[in-house]
Amino acid sequence: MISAATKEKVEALASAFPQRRSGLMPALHLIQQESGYISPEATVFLSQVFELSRAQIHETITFYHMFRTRPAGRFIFQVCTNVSCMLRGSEEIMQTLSEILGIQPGETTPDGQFTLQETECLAACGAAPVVQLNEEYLEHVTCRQIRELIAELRKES
Amino acid sequence: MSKVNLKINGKTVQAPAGSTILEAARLAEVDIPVLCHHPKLANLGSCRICLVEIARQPNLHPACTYPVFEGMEVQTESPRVVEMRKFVLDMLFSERNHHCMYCEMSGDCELQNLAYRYRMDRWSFPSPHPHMPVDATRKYFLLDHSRCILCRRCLRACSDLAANHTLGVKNRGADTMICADMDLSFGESSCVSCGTCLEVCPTGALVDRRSAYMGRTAEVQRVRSSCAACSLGCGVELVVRGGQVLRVESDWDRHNEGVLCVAGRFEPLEQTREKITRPLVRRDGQLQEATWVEALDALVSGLRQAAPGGIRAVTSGAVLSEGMNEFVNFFKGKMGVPVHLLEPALAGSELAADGGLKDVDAADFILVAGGDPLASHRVLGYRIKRAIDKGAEVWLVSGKETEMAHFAARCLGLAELDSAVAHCMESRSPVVVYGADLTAREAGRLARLRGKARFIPLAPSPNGHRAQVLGLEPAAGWAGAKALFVLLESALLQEGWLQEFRRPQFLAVYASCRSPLTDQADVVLPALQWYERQGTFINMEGRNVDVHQAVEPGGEGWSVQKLFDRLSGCMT
Repeated sequence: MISAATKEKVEALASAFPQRRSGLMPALHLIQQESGYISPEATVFLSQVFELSRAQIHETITFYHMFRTRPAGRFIFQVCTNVSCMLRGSEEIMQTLSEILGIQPGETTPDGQFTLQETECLAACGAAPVVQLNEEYLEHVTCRQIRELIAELRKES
Repeated sequence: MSKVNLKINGKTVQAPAGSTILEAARLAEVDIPVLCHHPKLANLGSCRICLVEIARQPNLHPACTYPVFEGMEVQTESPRVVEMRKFVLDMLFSERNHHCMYCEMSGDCELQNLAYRYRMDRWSFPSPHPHMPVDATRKYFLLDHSRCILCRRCLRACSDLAANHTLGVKNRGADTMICADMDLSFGESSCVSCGTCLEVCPTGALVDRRSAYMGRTAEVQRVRSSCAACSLGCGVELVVRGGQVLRVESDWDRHNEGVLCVAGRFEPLEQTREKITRPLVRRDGQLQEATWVEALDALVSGLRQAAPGGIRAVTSGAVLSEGMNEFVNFFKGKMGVPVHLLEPALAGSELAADGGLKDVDAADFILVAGGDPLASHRVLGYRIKRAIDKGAEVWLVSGKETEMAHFAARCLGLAELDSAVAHCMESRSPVVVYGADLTAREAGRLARLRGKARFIPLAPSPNGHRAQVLGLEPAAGWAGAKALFVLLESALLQEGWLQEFRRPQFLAVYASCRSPLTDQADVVLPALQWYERQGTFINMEGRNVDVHQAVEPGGEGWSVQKLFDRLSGCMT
């Protein structure tokens, strides 16, 4: 469900630009902040506001890895699998995460707490391997750190 | 228009300024291969198969988007170009499953043809052949993602030609896939099954289910004809093999510009009605097969018993002009019997039919009154949606729920017709589309726009215009008939048309398929099937369009002309 307040903000974004469609990206961010993902209902709503086809909205959402079309967990691990991180052991990091959480990349744990994702370069190669946890970067990350971190997060939840 | 001089492969060519290298090459009959380019679609320049070498330029450029300039020198098959094309093909073949021998399009595939042309005998990358889904949720055609090369022709056809905007691409890079709406299955999506995407697909990704594996281009005949599903009369090509129509494709050179609808492309071949192939005569209360001589005897005696005042004749507006003329000549001319029209007629015969699809393209304002083009004349509906995409304003005046309402800027009730007429008066190049829901009074109010707007009628029957020219009256006048002759041909009976119908003492029906009407008849005369008949009808632009016989008659059906020729002989 999109709240009335968010709907109003999205409408305002559409009329803030000479071309309505220019407001789509910030609108997608707004909706994802509120709901955690972009639902089919949200896509229909956005297509009406921005006078674009549903397919065009979906194209935009799926072009960017940061937008989600399905609900994600409370904690989202995004593991960079590009060259620098791969050379510095991102594969083991991914494997460790996958084993501890019991899910494959792209999946969410049944309790809705953790989501695991592969991601393209996070632009922090100097600190490889890099994992992004929600909005924060974990740099020079090791498998041990990952184990400890997840134990802590599990306590928290 | 100014001309530009250039050289293609050393040959001097003159091309209009602003044309692309590809267009100039086609003028000079130089064949540059294409995949994402389609002559009726906007250029994209994404597949890179048309790359050419331009003298004094370091990089190769796509011929489909690069404009010509004075003194340009182009090489279209230089070693460098050929090497690059092989590379592009190599990449395309490496991407998904292109094992041609299992593909329906093998032999007719644009990608396969290019592989032969550039002598491709292997691909250099170990092909991962990712498992790709097949979407077979649509009734008439399917999408096999593993054959798709992402040229996006289907996408542009859906958006720019059919103006339906169902198709898009999801994800990016190697994960890119064609998808419908927000990644719904096609069956659940906003797809209207017009099949325009199917027709432009260069590979076997989009496949017609009915005609799959039933014949390659070299093994089939193509018969140019006109679709008689509605009064638009869209240009079609019937693809025929071994006395069977395999599928219907569109004629890109006619006013419909390659676009058809589900009622013209797929439904005619999805014949679920039982065909009538022999004359039938009622004996001892039962309809039984008979010879033409017996059927004509029964018909003549049935008509004679009621003659002359008790006979009524009714024709469907789906009958071609030649047959309708013959029918009217016989009954009205020779027998003095009034002839009626089965389908409802348009009110407002004083309104012209002077507009066409080109006028819709050029319109700044379109008034749709008393009808729903997206239900009855879909290709016109798509064209109106195209005009909306280009900025035209559409107002809908209707007393009913319509599909068109989703796209109109304003939806008004019939009582507010006058304000729409006033708005129309202020427009630059308005078009009025009017349907059968208008009363004569409302049509009269539209008549004020004569000279200002172009008029397009939504005639309820394909050849309704001809019926109007012949002065046929609405069918209500058939009540009280003692003997009734109904010329149905392949017309589909709609509910409601027969509400007033009371079976007369004698009923004769000329029809190609069984219906509630033929079941009640005393004599049933077999008509030609829709693909067996030849003639013309008047389309909504007021022009005669040709219907060509695609297949030799398979049953004992006669044309209307032959029937009345013989019947005249019997009645004298």
